[in-house]
Amino acid sequence: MILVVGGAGQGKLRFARELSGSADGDAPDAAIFDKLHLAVRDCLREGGDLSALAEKALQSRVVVCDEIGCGIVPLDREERRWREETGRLCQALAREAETVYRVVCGIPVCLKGESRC
Amino acid sequence: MIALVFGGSACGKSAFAERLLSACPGAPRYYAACMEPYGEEAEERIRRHRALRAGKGFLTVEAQRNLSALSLPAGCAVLLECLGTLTANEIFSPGASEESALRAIRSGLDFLEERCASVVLVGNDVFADGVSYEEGTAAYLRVLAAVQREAARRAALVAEIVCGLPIIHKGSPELFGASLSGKERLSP
Repeated sequence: MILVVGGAGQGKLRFARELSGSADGDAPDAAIFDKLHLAVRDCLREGGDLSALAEKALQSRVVVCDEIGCGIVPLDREERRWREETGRLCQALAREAETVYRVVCGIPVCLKGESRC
Repeated sequence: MIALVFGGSACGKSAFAERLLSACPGAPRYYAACMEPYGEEAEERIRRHRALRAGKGFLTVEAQRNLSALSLPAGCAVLLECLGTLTANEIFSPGASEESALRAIRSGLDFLEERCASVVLVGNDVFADGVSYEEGTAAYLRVLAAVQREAARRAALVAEIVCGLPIIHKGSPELFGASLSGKERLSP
């Protein structure tokens, strides 16, 4: 599994598509688990199982997640929980991942493993 | 010798800082806790961090404000967790100002640098969310940014942590006796 993280709008999905060899078309990519941070939020709202979500992410070829932990601590408790669970899940996925990239201004920075770019 | 370890929420910065503290020169090893232990969520966080530290032989010293008055033996090693909480405690104290908060933290850093063989400072990446905050929070951000710039200037190691992985911006963990596993890539 390849983990791609970074801030909003940094070019993560475009890079993930390059990695997975899929075209820039509109078709959803089966190989890419995009917007993991939103899946975590939905899972918490619905009282779902985060470990099942982690398992699904681990089975994907490429996982894309926004970094959401770099702001002032939110006043809302559920938002605090969301960003912490997302951060911990990304740590767990990074431990298992073959390669981890962080995309900054469209530039992929390889944090773990062998860079393919 | 100072190390600055920073990152966003739940990025793994504490675990990395603890690895550094376990490896670095200086004894005994202290964990300087800045968080005020009030409220259910703070207690839960403290429980989680205590479990992370269990068995590592760190002594705990309370460090909510006024670091320069801490009672620490010369030549010890200290992990301070964290500059964001310390800054909040200083600036949101009754009668405090932006200037007094910055002064208190600077003299605290002077004290630690002079007193300790190794100092591992945990910092916070809270400067890139694009939000304009009201003046109280804006002042807090200015002080924290100034403290972390100063810490980085003095530091022998500056590491940003992302998903548990270190990005080394200055120096090397080897200076603190810690090594990185082969799988952890460094950049730039």
